[in-house]
Amino acid sequence: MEKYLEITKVQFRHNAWQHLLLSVLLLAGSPLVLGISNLDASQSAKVLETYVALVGILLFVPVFLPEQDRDLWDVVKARYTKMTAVYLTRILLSLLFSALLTLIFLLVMRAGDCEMEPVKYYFGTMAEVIAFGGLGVFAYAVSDNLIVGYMIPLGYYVAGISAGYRYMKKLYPFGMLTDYETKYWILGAGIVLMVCGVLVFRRRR
Amino acid sequence: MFITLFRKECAQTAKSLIYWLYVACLVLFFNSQLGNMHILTPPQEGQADYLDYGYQTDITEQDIMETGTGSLVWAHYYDNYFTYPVGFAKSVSLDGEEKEEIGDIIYDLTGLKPEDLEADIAAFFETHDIQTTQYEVKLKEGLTYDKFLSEMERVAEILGPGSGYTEEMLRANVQIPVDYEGAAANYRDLTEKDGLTGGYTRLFCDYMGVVLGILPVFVTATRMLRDKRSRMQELIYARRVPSGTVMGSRYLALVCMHMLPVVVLSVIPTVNCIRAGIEGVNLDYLAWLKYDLGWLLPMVMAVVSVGIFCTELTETALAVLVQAAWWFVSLMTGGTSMYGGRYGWNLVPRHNTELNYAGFEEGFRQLAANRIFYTVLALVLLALTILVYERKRKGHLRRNGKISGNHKSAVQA
Repeated sequence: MEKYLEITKVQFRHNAWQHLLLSVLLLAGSPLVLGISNLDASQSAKVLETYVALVGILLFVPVFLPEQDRDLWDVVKARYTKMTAVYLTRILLSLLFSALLTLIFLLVMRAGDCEMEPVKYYFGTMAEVIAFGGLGVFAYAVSDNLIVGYMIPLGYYVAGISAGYRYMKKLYPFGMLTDYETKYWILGAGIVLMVCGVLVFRRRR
Repeated sequence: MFITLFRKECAQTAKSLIYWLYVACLVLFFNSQLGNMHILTPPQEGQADYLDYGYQTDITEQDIMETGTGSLVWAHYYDNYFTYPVGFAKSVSLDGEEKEEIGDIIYDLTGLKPEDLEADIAAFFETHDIQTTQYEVKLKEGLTYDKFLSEMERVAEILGPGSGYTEEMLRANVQIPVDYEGAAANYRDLTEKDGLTGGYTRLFCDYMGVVLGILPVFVTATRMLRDKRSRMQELIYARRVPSGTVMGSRYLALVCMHMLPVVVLSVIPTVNCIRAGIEGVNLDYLAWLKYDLGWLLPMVMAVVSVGIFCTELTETALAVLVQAAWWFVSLMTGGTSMYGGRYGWNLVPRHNTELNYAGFEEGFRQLAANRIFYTVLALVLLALTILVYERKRKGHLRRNGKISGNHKSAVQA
């Protein structure tokens, strides 16, 4: 246990804090560009789905970044701690941060009299966060390229905006009010992709 | 030397996985949005509706005043004011004094006191369907357009940026469906002034702009980081080729390679127009080239230059985040001017219809200024990139991914 706490600390000190800071800035800057008070149910869903969920890309995708450097990878792989466990620890840290940030944002919206069903909206947003993150982690692992890791979930985001539910069916990312069942599908897909991403990255090296 | 390097850069780009991902994204996006392009046929008198033929372009000042005042009365009655600074709805809370001032403005425009509003709204919707009709209010007799605009200017000041009460927004918010005559006039504009292909190529630019505002940064950042990953930087630094040639050829190759699939796809709407075989239309066969170069090229140049500059400066994926933020704001801001004609300084100008030539003509000067600005910006960023690259070759600014940290001079190091 102590070992994993140490991994968490090191990950936070050297890597995660930068992405956490960017996510905090993204959310803290939201009052400058969008309203987070007195919104009706559909406007609240739009803010959560098209804005807040983007933290999934920022927080999850760089999970393999420290080992991008081949030399560093050679040093790390000589250790007896399993890399899979290290990656899962990092992913859990990203999950914790995204869950906390989403919760805080949702509470701020509630305090601003935004209409919503808190539990439903929270779960729906987190499902999307995990879907964006999972897709990014998988793309990064397959391509061994951080930039592709950012590109694919952003492409999915654009596809969601442009193609809509009609074309994307159960994989539509913004289905909070259209079809809530989509949230279970994208959550499942996100988890599967994340696990596959870790396994693929481990095998590639 | 420049040509040799340019060819090499093109070949490298063509061999990279991310470039083909870019091409696949473009093709998929094109297919999803324009795959089933339906070329408008001339309107027929007496057909069921003319929804496909756009909105009236000859909007009167009276239309603007009635719709604008109606929207203000509605917002005031429900105490529910919204602005759209970057596309998202932003609720604006007014204090008592500001609400009173809005009430006074409504009285000046309509002669209605706050206590009369409920009865007026109820009376209006007794004869109109609330689901489909926008509330309109009867204006005071003798109200001039100038007086109306000055009152609305005050409302816009109170509500802040992104309100719907500026003259431009008030005009844009009036969307009156056309009748047969209006449909025929809009269709004439499309076929006579736009040569049919012009309208469809503009629609193509509108859609492709959405993805071209972000996708090139991924290919560019990957290319720029490639030297670092393969540890070729030192080897290239030591060559005798000037920095301008290295970066210039790379930049030109990236822009050309990004534009290549765009140009190919842009021919498809023209082919569709030719195949539609509509009689009596003087087709503009080169519209695709004009729009590709004038509308999309400056956008691609700007995005690629952000990519090369940020990546060369920081040697990280920062360019992706910077461009993603810029793209997001551009896209959301453009959401309030989808019908075209109001291009502003947006990186991704919108004109989501093959019609509205009148709006395009009216906004053309602004659009041209916009595109020239982004071309100049792109060239400035390219010059800065060359400068940074040159400094690195001389041993400065080598921070291994960190923006700060190297305080030693080249000599000390």
